[in-house]
Amino acid sequence: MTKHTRREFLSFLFSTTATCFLSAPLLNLSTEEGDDDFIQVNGWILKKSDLYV
Amino acid sequence: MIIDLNNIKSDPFQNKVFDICICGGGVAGITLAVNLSKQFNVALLEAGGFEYSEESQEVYKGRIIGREYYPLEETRMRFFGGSSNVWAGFCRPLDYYDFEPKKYVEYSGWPINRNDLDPYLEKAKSILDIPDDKEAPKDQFTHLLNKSADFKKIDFWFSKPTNFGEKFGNEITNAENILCCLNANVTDIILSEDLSRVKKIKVQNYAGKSYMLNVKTFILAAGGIENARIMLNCNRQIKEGLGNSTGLVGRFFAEHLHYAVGELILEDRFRNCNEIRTYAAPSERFMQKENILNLGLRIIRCNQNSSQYSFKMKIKNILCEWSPDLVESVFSSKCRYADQLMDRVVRIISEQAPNFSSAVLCDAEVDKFKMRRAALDWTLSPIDVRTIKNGVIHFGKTVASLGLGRLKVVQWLLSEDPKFPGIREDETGGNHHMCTTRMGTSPKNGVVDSNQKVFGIGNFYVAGSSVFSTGGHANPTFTIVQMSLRLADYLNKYN
Ligand SMILES: Cc1cc2nc3c(=O)[nH]c(=O)nc-3n(C[C@H](O)[C@H](O)[C@H](O)COP(=O)(O)OP(=O)(O)OC[C@H]3O[C@@H](n4cnc5c(N)ncnc54)[C@H](O)[C@@H]3O)c2cc1C
Repeated sequence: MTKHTRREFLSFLFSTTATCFLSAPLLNLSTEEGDDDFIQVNGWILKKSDLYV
Repeated sequence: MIIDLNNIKSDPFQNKVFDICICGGGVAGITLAVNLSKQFNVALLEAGGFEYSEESQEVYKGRIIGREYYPLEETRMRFFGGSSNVWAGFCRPLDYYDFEPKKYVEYSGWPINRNDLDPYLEKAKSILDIPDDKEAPKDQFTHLLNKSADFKKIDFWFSKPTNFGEKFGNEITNAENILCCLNANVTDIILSEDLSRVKKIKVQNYAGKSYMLNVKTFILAAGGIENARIMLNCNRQIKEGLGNSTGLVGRFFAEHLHYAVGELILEDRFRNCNEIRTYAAPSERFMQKENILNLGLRIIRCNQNSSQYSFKMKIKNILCEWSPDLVESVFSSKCRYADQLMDRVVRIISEQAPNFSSAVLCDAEVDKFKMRRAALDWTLSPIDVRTIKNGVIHFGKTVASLGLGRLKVVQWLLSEDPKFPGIREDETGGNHHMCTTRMGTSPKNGVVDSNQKVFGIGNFYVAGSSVFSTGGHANPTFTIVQMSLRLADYLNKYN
């Protein structure tokens, strides 16, 4: 696999292709503010900012 | 005094009338006997001997006809001390909120509240050998959790675990006012002709010899499944069984659902946090907002080596696990796989909503006393599943938002229609058998009234977790002891 830049990686993560990898969008839970801040990766409940490690 | 009905020549009950007769020498029965014997002469009838025996335990066999559950002869103990011979000792009173009616849960709410049980808190702690509160351990993780409006840190107490047979055996042997009979199986409860009072109790030993006891007051304390089975089986005078005019005896069987629901990595500031277990539960506000039931989360240290890795490293590895090639190419670092970096496992113990379909019924097959065996039709409701799913996922979001760590939720729980693991894969239940003769405000919603008296039968009481109206998430034995002390107080005052 060719080297990706960080930017490419993140844009991949948030692209439509990636959403299916990221499993279902974070379940219809509470309508609390801030639901958009989370992302689910393999069952992990991460903050989107975690992807900028 | 303690006698063995298997080895007795004369009839020990002849020409006697007992003020109080208790069926079952387990947690509830022993607590009651000891606390009633100052004022009354008490007969304590225990089906087993001092030790485990096949011939007694076999009577507990039954059939599972609903959700998968433990074999009925393995989920409770049928000898002196009852299931306190094997219990684990987790103790906690129910929450105030547990007693309140909830608009979103049918049949919720108790006819009593937590304040009615609080006066028995200290005595219950002493009976259960719970040490005085030490200074709470410094647990930064769950303390920080209290900053969230949705979850809070909770505490558990630990009984030794007290074995009631061992602890009270001597006291009962020496008590002048207690006649405790071992190998004494209650096989019938006989009412007066007008069916308004219990008059006699039939007891049998293992040789099949029968005895009759005359009683003034009767308390059934044979455990959460057996209380219902006995009431349903005693149907010679009333076809549907005792206290069952509205068909509620055996209904609303509830357990605490026990599952491993996730794994946790902690942020770096908790790297040196060494607590082995910490506990969290949802706030009332959160339960109301989400329309869910009560639950407890046990956060248990699982891996001492994980603290050598930084939080950042752990996150990288989570992403690596998801797409090794991609992440490797970005971070130029090798995957270590997150499994090895896990700090804590998270287990849930969750409440089950009152559910009429979930029931202890009588099977066609009979035991050696010709009593129909128990058939357990354990059933869940959608709210039970939603409680676990919403509770766990929201806990995951809470720990992430507060900067505590990140939670990995088990895959089965994330599916649209989660199928809980079976008893071979996880604990499933806690051996907590509740609500089968629930306390209600009338026969329409309960079998016993707020004093644990069976509706319609003047001198018939039931004790143990079968009288819980709802189960909360706390293990039941602490509440069983509190309620037995309250019942003893009531009978000492008004009987
Ligand atoms: C493995 C295990 C672990 C547990 N861990 C915990 C825990 O950590 N925390 C907690 O709170 N709870 C725990 N429990 C549950 C706890 O043991 C019960 O809540 C408690 O023992 C119930 O008390 P009881 O008096 O109602 O019934 P029991 O203790 O079961 O006593 C009932 C008694 O009635 C007798 N009996 C039955 N039928 C008849 C009859 N026909 N005639 C005469 N006598 C009869 C039985 O022999 C028995 O002695 C656990 C249970 C098990 C099995």
